[in-house]
Amino acid sequence: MPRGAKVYRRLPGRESGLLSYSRLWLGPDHLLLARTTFFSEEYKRFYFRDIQAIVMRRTRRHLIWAWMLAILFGLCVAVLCIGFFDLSGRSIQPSDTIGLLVWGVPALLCLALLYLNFVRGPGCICHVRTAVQIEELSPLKRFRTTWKVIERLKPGIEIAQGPLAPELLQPKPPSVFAAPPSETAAQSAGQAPPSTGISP
Amino acid sequence: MSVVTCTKCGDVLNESLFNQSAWSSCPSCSSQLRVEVFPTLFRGPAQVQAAQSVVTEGEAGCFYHPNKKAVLPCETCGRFLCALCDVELNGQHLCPACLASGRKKGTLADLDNRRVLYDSLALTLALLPLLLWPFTLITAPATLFVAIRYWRAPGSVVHRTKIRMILAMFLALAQIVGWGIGFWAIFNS
Repeated sequence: MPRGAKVYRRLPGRESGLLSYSRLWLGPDHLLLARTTFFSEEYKRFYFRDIQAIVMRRTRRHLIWAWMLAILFGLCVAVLCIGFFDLSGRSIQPSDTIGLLVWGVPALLCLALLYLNFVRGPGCICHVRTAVQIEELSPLKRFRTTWKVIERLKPGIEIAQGPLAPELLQPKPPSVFAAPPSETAAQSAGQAPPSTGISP
Repeated sequence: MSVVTCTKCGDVLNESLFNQSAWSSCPSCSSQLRVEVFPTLFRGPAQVQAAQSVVTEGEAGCFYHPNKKAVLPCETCGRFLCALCDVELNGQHLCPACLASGRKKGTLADLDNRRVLYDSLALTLALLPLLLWPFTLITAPATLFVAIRYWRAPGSVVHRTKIRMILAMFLALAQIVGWGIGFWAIFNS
């Protein structure tokens, strides 16, 4: 490979902490999770041939953010409204302009963040599963971003593992050791199971 | 076959939840889940190839296990390896010694799970003391030392240019020149 050639391609999604951040990178045969803390970078590699499943779980984080931002926005707008009502009947003072800026700018900021929160869509937590680990992909916090990443991973995984046979996804028939459905249904309905003819 | 479990409650999920186009509920905790599965999930554990014994006199044996039949040479050192000693990495067949050496020297990037970002260190050394400028008297030469000493050190595994190093050196040189001019002005006055 020529020196300086790009081996990895950046994938969408980023997790930013106070002193660290994580990103996902697409390698030729693996997914790389890079976590940068101060002056060091730690890596976790998930090879396409090893990835068994990607599990997404929906969260309510985006709704919590939406409520918090909406309450803050409402608070700022309420203060501005009170200011405007107070203003009627007198001339505008320099302190009014400062008040408008102090409450108006955060209100606009909240509105912009609220819009951004809705545009980014519902939140989720994503885990990748291999034969020996279940690892959270922390940069993937939104479903849309997660789905984009999965769509970009799928061709590589298919090359490494081959196509998935549809019959593998069919529910398996019940085991011979399991209770027959009629008996289970009767028990759940509170009825006695049919007599076997053998007294205890 | 392995099983997929709910990431919240740990309950085993059945096949009806796999690769659905909409969210499904976990039967146990009712969490909304989407599960994308791949063929490896349905395969059994990989079969480990056992090393074969030397069958005939004069046949090549493994460097590490002379009584085992060699199947291929190490692509780095050329030693003959049996199936047990052959380690495949990115299509390359290596012996355990070359693998350990490559990991130690950092020549096998795929084995690195941690790297020090000297370029970020140099840039921070050059930038941060600007808030308390007298410290630049110490940090500017330190920045230059880090930038020159670790210029060729392996940086981030993901693609990064040398721009941070260059910027850090430029800033450090500017600070040193600034100190030089300052001292010259003091001594001349």
